[in-house]
Order: sequence, then C-alpha cells, then structure tokens
Amino acid sequence: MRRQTLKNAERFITPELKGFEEKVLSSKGRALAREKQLYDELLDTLIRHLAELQTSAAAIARLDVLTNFAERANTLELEAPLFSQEAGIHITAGRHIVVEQVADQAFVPNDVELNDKRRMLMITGPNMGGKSTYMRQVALIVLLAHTGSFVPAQQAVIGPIDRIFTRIGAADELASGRSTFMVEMTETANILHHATEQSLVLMDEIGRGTSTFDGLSLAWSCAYHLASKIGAFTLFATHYFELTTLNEQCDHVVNVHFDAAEHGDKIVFLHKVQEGPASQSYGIHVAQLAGIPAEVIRHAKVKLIELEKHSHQTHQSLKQTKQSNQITTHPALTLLESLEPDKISPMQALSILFELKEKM
Amino acid sequence: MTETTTIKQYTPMIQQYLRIKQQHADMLLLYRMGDFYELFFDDAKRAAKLLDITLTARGQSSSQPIPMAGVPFHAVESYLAKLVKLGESVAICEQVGDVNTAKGPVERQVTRIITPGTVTDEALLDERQDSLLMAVFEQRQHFAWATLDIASGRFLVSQVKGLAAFNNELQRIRPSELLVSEDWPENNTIDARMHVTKRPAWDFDVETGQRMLCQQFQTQSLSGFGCEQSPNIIAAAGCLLQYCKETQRTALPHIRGMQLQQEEESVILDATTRRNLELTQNLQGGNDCTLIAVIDRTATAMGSRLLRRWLHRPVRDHEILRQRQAAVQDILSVNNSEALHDILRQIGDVERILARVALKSARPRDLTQLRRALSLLPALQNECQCFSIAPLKKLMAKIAEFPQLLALLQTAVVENPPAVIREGGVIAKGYDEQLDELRTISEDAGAFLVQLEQREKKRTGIATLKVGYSRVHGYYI
Repeated sequence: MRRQTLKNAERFITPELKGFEEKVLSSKGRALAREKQLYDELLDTLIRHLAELQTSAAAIARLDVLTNFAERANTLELEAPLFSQEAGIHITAGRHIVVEQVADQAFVPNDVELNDKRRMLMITGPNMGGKSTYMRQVALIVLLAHTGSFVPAQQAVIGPIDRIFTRIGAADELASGRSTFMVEMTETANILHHATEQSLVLMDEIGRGTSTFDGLSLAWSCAYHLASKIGAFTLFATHYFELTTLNEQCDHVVNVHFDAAEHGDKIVFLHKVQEGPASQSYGIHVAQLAGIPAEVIRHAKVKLIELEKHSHQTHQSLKQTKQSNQITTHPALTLLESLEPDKISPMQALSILFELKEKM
Repeated sequence: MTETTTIKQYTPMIQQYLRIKQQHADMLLLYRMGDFYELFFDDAKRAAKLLDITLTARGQSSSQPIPMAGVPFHAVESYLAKLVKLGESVAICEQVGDVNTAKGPVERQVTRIITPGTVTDEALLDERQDSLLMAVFEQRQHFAWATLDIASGRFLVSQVKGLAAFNNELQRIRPSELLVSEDWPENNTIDARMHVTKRPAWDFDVETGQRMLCQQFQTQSLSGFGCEQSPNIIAAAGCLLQYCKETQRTALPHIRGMQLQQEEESVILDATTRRNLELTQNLQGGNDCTLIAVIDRTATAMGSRLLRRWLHRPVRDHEILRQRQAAVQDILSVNNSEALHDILRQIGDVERILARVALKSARPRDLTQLRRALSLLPALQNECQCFSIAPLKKLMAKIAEFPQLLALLQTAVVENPPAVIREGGVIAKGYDEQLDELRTISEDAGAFLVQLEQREKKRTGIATLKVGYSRVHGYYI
C-alpha cells in the first residue's frame, strides 16, 4: 500500500507494519496517560502532608532571616540594641548603615540622646554638614531594631515607639501635579495630626517651599507644636537660625549643630554633632567650593558682615516678640540664610545679589 | 455579538470562540488552535499592541475580515509574563476534546485564568517580592481589607478608619491586583497606578463569605481568627477567596487560615517615610543604596521575602524582638552562619513550590527541588544541634523531616526530568509496573523495526529498503 511519494523514494505500508504502528502508538499514548496519572497521585500524596511541609518551610525561611541577621551583624559590625520601657532613644556612636557602605571617606559616627527631658533636637549647621544623614541614620537604627536585627551603633537603648514620620527635603512630585510646597504641607499636616509622644519625627528644612516669612513662621509653629503640645521625639533640621531660640520657650528643646572648620579659605566638614546652635552657615564657603566666581564671593562676604550687624538687632527683637508671628528679621538676611549656594547657578547667585542690594 | 442571531453568521469555530469569550468579557482570551494561541477581534488588536506581535486576519464576518493575532504555544509563558506585568488578565482556553474524533470544532474549555494578583508560575513571579491579591470593602469610611499571597497561602485581614489610612496601607502592601465592589464610590480615590478589578457587589455578601471561609478553613466559625465580630472583614475576605477559586479552578489546600493584623502591633511607617528612608527602593525607584540592598544576604528567596515583610512591618512587641535577638546571638556564638547559609541556599524556595503543589500546577523540576530540600533537612538539623536557646530550639522543632516523602520522590521521579510533564519521561523506571510495561512496548519498537527491515530486504531483494517513521504519516516502509 502506498503511503507517500517522495522525490526519490516511495513509501509503503504493509498490514503487519500497520498493526505494529497501532500497538506502538497506543502504548505510547497509554504510557503518557499512565504517567500523568501517577504524577497527579504523587502530588496528592504531597498535598496530604501539605500542612507540615508548609510549617517546615515557614520555619526555614525564619531561620534564613535570623542567620542573615547574624552574618550581617558580624560583617557590618552591628550590635544588639536594648529595649526599654522608659521613653527615649539613646544611641552611642551610631552610623548610617547604607552611607557607610558607599562613602569613600571614613564614616563619622554620632550619638543621639532623646529622653523625657530632651524631646526635640534642633539641628543647625552648614549644608553638606551631615544633618540629613544624621537624621536618617537615627530612623534606620530605630527601624532595624524593630525587625529584630542588630544595629550600626556601639550601643543603642530604645524605648517604646509607635510610629516613624519623616518630612525630608523637597521630593519633587511634579508628576502628581502638586506643588512642592503643597506636598510639604500635606505631609506636615499628616504628622501633626497623627504623631504621639511615642513617635519619632524627622523634619528636614520645613518651610523652604514658600516665602521666607511664611516659611519661618510655619517652621517655628510646627516645631513649637511638636515640642510642647505633642511631645514627639523630634529631630528638626533647619536653616532658620531663629529657631535656635525655641529652647527658651520650650523646656524639651535642645540645640545641636554640625560644624565645619575653615582651613584657610577652604572648608572642612566635620560631620560630628555637637551641643548648642551653629555659629555660621558657611554658605559662602560652599558657594566658593561650587565654583561661584571670586568676585561674587567677595561681594557676598562684605554683605554678610553688614547683615550680621542687623541680624544682632533682629535677634533681640525676635526674642521680645516671643511667639508672635511678626518676626522682624531683615528680609535680606533671611533671604541670604535661605540660600542654598550648592544648588544655585552663578547666574542666579548674581541676581540674588542684586535682590539683596535692593532690600537694603 | 452576544445575540445568537448575529453569532450564526460566523463559522462554527468562531461561534464557539464567541460563546467562551462571552464568559470572560473583561479579559484577554487566548484560544488554542493547534500549535498557537490565537486572539480575535478587539482582543487581537489590544494584544498586538501590548505584545508587539503581528495583527493578521482570519475569514470574514459580514465581508469584514476578523482581526487575529497569535503566539506559538511553546512561547506562551513569556508572553503571559509580559501581559501580567502590564496588568492584564488572561483566560487560557485549551482544546480538551479528542482532535481525531471530534466533529466540527474540537471541544475547548478555559482551563486557567491568570490575573496579576493570582499568578503562581515561577516564570511570572519576582522571586524576592510577594505578589499579593487584595480585596477591600468600605462602609462608612471604615476600610476592611484582606490580602492573599497565593504563591504561599498567606492570608491576612485587617481594617483601618479613613481613606488616607487605607491609601497608606495600599502603599505599604502594594498589591498586584486590588478587588473592589462595582459600586465603589468614586470619591474614594485610589492610587491610579493600582490595578483595580471590579467585582459584583454580591461577591461581598457576608453570609456567603462566612460560609466559604469556614468551608475553606474547615472550621465551624471564624471566631478562632478573631473576625467573628467584623462582618466587613468577612465580606472582603470572602470576595477574595471567591475570586481565587474562580481564577484557579482548583482546590486551594494551602490556604489554611487567616490572620487578623492589628494596627497597634507594629511601628507604623507612612508611605512618605518608606520612600524617604529608601527601605526597599531608592528615590529614583531603583534598588541601589537601599537598606534592603545592604542587609539582605538571605540564602533563599522565601527568606528574602520574609525579611522584606519584617522591614515593612516592624514589630512593637519588645518580647518578640528580644527573642529574635537572642536567636541571632546564639547563631553568632555557634558561629556557623556560613555553613547554614550554604545548606539553606540549596534548599531553595520551598514555600512557592508547595503552593504550586497545592494548586497542582507543580512542574517536574519543582518536585526535584523539593526532593533536594527534603534530603537536606537532616543536615540542617544536624548543623543546628548546637543551638542552646529556647526560641531557636522551638523554631528547629517546627522543621520536621520527611523520610517517607523523600523516599517516594526518589523512587518516583527521575534524576533530571524535563521541564514539563506533557512529553512524559518524568516518572522513574521501576516505580510503576504498568508504566514500565507500556514503555517497554514502545521502546522495543526499534528492535522490531530493524528485524522487519532485514526480513523485508531479504524477501524483496531491495538493498536500499528502509523502515522509518514520520510524525505526519506514521510508519512506512
């Protein structure tokens, strides 16, 4: 019987071969079906033990994480934090676990001491001085402690914490169509509504997105509210030096600052937190580092000295006005203070300088 | 097209397609035709765009060609992965009837529905990330929600007050798919990036939910889960379970209970804080320089996922934390984390394998990995003998050994099975007599053919005579 004709061959089939074909094909099919059936039975057997298998798997995953914690503690030199029923956060020589890994310089460890008497740290100091890193590292240490992991610090004692809040920088949300300032205020509102005296709150440069007076008054009243009404553990980084006088009104506010050393005309950031308010903003030096033309820098220095005279008077008047919103800081001064020299172009610097001149 | 009168103008095959498509109107239907999965009409246009495949046409309907696009069956998994990532749901319709005996179009049935939240295939999942399905039920601004990780069986429920708090939870959980009632009020705005699936309102019926959940967990009531007094939670959980059953089309034995999460148990981190602290994602959306990048050196993907859960939901209970610390301390003092890591790494992602076993979608290689894992358990226990503190001992006691299952898997499954069961060759020789016999018959075919060839050559005197086999024509001489 012909089956197929090829170019150079004819293919036939005989009855014997046909019978054989059927037997082979059917046994193949039956073998596959049988195999599938056996496979399903195998799965059924496993399913009967599913509960114990799942329990074991969950325990193995746990063991994996705990082993991971141990290995990390060893490699990254982490220590076990202590938990206390007493309110407060006490960290000796804490580090930022991520920055420490990627930074090319040796990381400078810092302490933090928050307790019933010290509920708010008002942090001042130059840009690039380490304010942001400092605040984040505290939050990360507290967070890591609450996973059961060891933490990057010589010693850490942590009291009850119910929430961690952050209001950091001006994360641009252009995509969502909300203005930076609106975002900032929405987030701040959320914090003021929900923070308790067991919360850890990080506030970085709040009030920057609006005019100087608005910003300063808002920052002031937020800080005041957090410190005296809520009593949350707060790290408050600000460039408004006026806020360093808040501790005269609220008992639990303490000033700390980051320092930089002038090295000739250059500047070295010390990344070390110290008690008390910062003395200078070093903005001009940062501007110099950023490559602002020497002439502009010189001009700014002259202006600074002029302004500092005014500033003394305004500080006095600020103390007198206490909580009132009529803060009489000289506009030129506040403008200068709100400058972020590392973020502006030489062109902008120049126009700001003109603006300063006008305000005199 | 839903009218039978209009259906009649199509070929019988397209009629069958439209009947099936009707039941899955809101998802893409992949319709098996021989070696291809085809899509028709609007599905075809959409898939062509999403998958960058060619849009062709098949036949005519009222002198209009029917748009068609298709993917070859052997590559379907990668296309599915793409679609699911894009947030599409897909119904897969297979030929279930016998191709040779069928009159007219072969019988077809939807055998699998894949939605972003109900994926369990290894190829479609990010191994270090939970893939969660979430259902939410709102009543007077109380939001009750339930989440299920179908790839592990973890079923959590909770409720929060206020839309802001719920959105915060959404940010934390980041479900792959969110189920809401079709009458969800529009002013309850949900992040537009979420993949939302609307479900009929009756899916949230409390009584049905209660009955289904009790049946699933094989309990009389839900009081053991602390949910008896929370009808809203039961509504959300019930809808979730129903949706799973509908999409998986099989029993879900790995879902054995649900857990009520209380807000006050954990240190609450809002979405902003999570982002600012760069826990698992940096501000640019990547993984570099995040906390997880520095602290995650877990050996298994299931461990990595657990670590992420711990990080996103820090515990407030100091006692639990002290126990974890004590365990870490103990491992440090025994100083065998390296050896443990090595064993754990080889054990692999048993959690998800077990879920696939439960859903009966486990691949042959899942079983060999499970076999490997089981064979390592004695070594793991041995390595952990030196642990001295109670929490670790208790943990190790939970890890059983399964010598019988191990023996079964060793005798039943071959050393290196193929990726799928379809072509056979998975079950080992000597495990089943009947199978061996059937295989012998087809294997002996070779010897028989050689014999036949020799005999026929002699008989006919044609030296070039050959006996062979082609897939199309069968055996020939």
